[in-house]
Parts: sequence; C-alpha cells; structure tokens
Amino acid sequence: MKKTFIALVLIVAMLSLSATAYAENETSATMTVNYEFTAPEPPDPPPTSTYVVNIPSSITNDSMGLVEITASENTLPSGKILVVTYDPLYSTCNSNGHFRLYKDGDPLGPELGCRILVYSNSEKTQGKYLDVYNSDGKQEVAAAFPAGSTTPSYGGFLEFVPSAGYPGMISGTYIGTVHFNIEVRDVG
Amino acid sequence: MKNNFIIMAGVTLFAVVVVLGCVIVGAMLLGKNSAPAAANTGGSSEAPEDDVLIRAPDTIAIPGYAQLVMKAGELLQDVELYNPEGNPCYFIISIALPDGTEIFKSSPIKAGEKTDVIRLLQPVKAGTYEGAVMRYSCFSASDDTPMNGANTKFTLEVVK
Repeated sequence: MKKTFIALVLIVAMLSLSATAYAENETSATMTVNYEFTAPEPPDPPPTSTYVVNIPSSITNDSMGLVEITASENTLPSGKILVVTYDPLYSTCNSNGHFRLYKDGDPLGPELGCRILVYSNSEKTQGKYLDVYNSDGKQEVAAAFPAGSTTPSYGGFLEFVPSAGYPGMISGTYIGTVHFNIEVRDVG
Repeated sequence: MKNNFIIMAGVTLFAVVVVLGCVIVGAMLLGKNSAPAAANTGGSSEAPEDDVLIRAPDTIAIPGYAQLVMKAGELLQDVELYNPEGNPCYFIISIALPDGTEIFKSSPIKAGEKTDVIRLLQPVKAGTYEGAVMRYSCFSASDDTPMNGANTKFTLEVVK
C-alpha cells in the first residue's frame, strides 16, 4: 500500500512537470519578437529606351541556320514603324555588299561567301536576299515592327547560306559580323 | 507483492504514454503556428520565376531611342546609355551627327551597366539633328572578339 502511494505521488509529479513544460511552450509561442529590418536600397530603375531589338550575336559557318530578329520593347507612337536593315558599311562583306565570312575572323585571311536571306516565317516561304539593294536603291528590310508590337509585320527570320567553297579551300571556322541599321520611319 | 508490481508497472506505462502524448500534441500545435511565418519570410527574398527575363543566350539586345536631349555648348551631358542585363558582350557606343561627325565614344560598357553622364568630344550647337546615329559596337565578354552590332538612328535635340 505504501509503495502504491509512492508510485501515485511520482505519477502526479511527472504529469505536473509535463504540464509545466507544455505551458512554457505556450508562453514562448505568444511572446513578442522585435527585429529591426533595414530594407535594402531599391535598385535604380532601368533607363528608358523607346525600343529594344534583339539581333543574333555572331555568325560562323559552324552555326548556320535560321535566326530571328525580335523586339522585347516597343513604345513607338502610332503612325511609326521600326525598321531593321542590313548595313554593308560595317558588316564583313565584299565591294558589292555581299556578306563574307573570314577564317577565324581574320579579314586578311581566306574568305567564304555567305548570302543572307530574309523570310517572314519559319517555313521559309518567299525569301529575299538581304545583302543587296532593292529596286529603290535602298537596303532590303530584315524586320519591321509596327508601333507597340514586338512581333514583326515583315521579315524577322534570317537564313545564312554559305557558299560551297572551292578546291583547296582551308578547313576551319569562318566568322563574319553583321551590322544592322535600326530606325524609326513614318508608316506609308 | 506481485500484484503491486504489476499495478505500478501499468500505472508507470500509462503515465509515460500520457507525457509523450502531451509532448507530441504540443509540438504539433507549435508547428501549426510557425509554418506560415516561415513561408512568409522565405518567399519574399526571391523574385517569382515569371519576372525573370528569358532571352536566348545567342542574341544581343540593342536599346534604341526616338529622341535624346543635350545642352548646347557643354561637354558634360546627362545621358543614360546602357547595356541590357544578359547580353553576352560589352558595348562601345559612339554617337555621330547626321553629317558623320563623331561627338561621343564610350569606354566599354558591360552587360547590366549604364552611364549617367557622358563627356562629348566636342560641344554641339543648338538645333534639331534628325538622323543622328548611335553606333553599338559589340565585343565578346569572354574573348573580346567582335560580334554583330547595330546603328540606331534618332533625333538629337540640342537646347540652349
């Protein structure tokens, strides 16, 4: 009987201890935590440009295929159109303005002809040579974006077609750079 | 004597179960309170994926301006020129009047950098210069080789 009494006393003691522990948890759950947070300086807003046109970064004979000219920003007012053309003055080309690739990018090294065709869709229907002057004496248009649009209404797909080369031509990587003119024109 | 031992063992086992039960319930209650707080603090530091600008790595973003304004007769001009974040190249930007006279050439501008003030090569007279040219010469950020570039035409307003 005495041992039973001692056992009951121990049980009561254990239960009261656990209740105290639980109560302490409850107390800590409701305590106030103060933490002084210093907000980081807001980043500078990006500079405001009227448009952003994305052009292919480089052209080599190892990475030929269809490349796109896109716009990621266009805040032109209505009545205006953004026009992208090929610029033979700063592109690697011959005296006729036809695009050229040079071995390892060296303009004094061996060269490889490479024509540029422009299409309005990825199915490559109705392509036109880009690296020529059109009948008006102006450069062909590579892409045209109407006011507010990031999708071209004309062009936008370029294909680089290297010539087959010639006997004795040195194997290697031939590189060229294309320079584009981007300007805002009145519609019509 | 044997009965007492069985009773004590049973009561002790019961007490242990009750204590463990209290601990588990308490832990679950605390877990419910703290879970939303952790979610709030952890979610605020990173931008949602939708805000990330996704652009093919093999393109160069060329910013263009319809118009820039400068002050007549001054070399220092408050003009912001920038190289968009994510470009694989650095820019050297030059500005020329419609007659081809170069009035500015920048030092290399890395991707994500911008200029706040530019220093002209020569002061410009007041007037409206339609067809001024901003030339973007692009060079690989990894090996300095020339990359494709662009000229953008704009209207330069030079005011007194």
